[in-house]
Amino acid sequence: MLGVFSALEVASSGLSAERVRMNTIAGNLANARTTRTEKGTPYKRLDPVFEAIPVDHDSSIVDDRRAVSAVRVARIAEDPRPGQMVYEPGHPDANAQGYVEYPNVNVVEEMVNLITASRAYEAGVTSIETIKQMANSAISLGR
Amino acid sequence: MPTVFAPIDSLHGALDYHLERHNVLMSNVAHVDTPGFRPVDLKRVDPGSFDSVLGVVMARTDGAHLGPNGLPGGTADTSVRGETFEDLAAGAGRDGNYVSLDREAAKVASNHIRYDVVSAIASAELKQLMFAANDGKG
Repeated sequence: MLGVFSALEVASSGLSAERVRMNTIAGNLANARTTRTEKGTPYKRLDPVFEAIPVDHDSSIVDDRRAVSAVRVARIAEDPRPGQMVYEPGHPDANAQGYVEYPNVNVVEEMVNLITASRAYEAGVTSIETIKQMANSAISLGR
Repeated sequence: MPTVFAPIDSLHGALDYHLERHNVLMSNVAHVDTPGFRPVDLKRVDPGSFDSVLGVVMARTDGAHLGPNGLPGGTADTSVRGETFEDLAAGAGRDGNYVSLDREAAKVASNHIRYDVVSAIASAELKQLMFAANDGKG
């Protein structure tokens, strides 16, 4: 039986996925000018990829077991787009032609992603509030 | 044989149905950023006849009376069944995700109101039983 608590589980999986996205965006913004990483290349922006994990349940209402699914971060993918080449001959990471490759992080793009992640998080919180109110009205039945 | 709790039984099914639908909608909201996710929704399976919607059947005291599919009077099937369908009306984004937050939020809100209405009716039914059990002394 799929009840209030599994609904909370599904919603919280969405919240943690959005939190992972927030963290990657924060990492991207913090490393917007990082020209050196452990691999010796400039920083490449990261993007989390989400996937759906069906929540197995028995229900008296519906037979479709795939109707409800939790979210999982499948992997954190590296953005393959090339970084911006800036002519800075004095920079220690400049190449033979005097160009420095900066990370492929676009601050505006990251800010837009940050806002959508924040809105998605808020939507998840709202649906948790709703299920709590529904549970409360079920508890107060007959009072 | 209808029992005193018969009216509550049909409301019980309705509460379960709305809780199930909330689960489904919540899963859609959680997947607002999952590439290729197709949101699902729940709809009630057509119960078939007016009597089964009401959850009561009038007793047939005469062969000429109308009855549900010619069945004799008595209790109707009060179970509520739902079936899932993909709601792709919002259109897909570039990642193949069809979830629209506004659409889902509206559905969650209306489902919540329905749940509250049904639970208010169930409360009223239980209060009436309590009134009867207390010999009408409030």
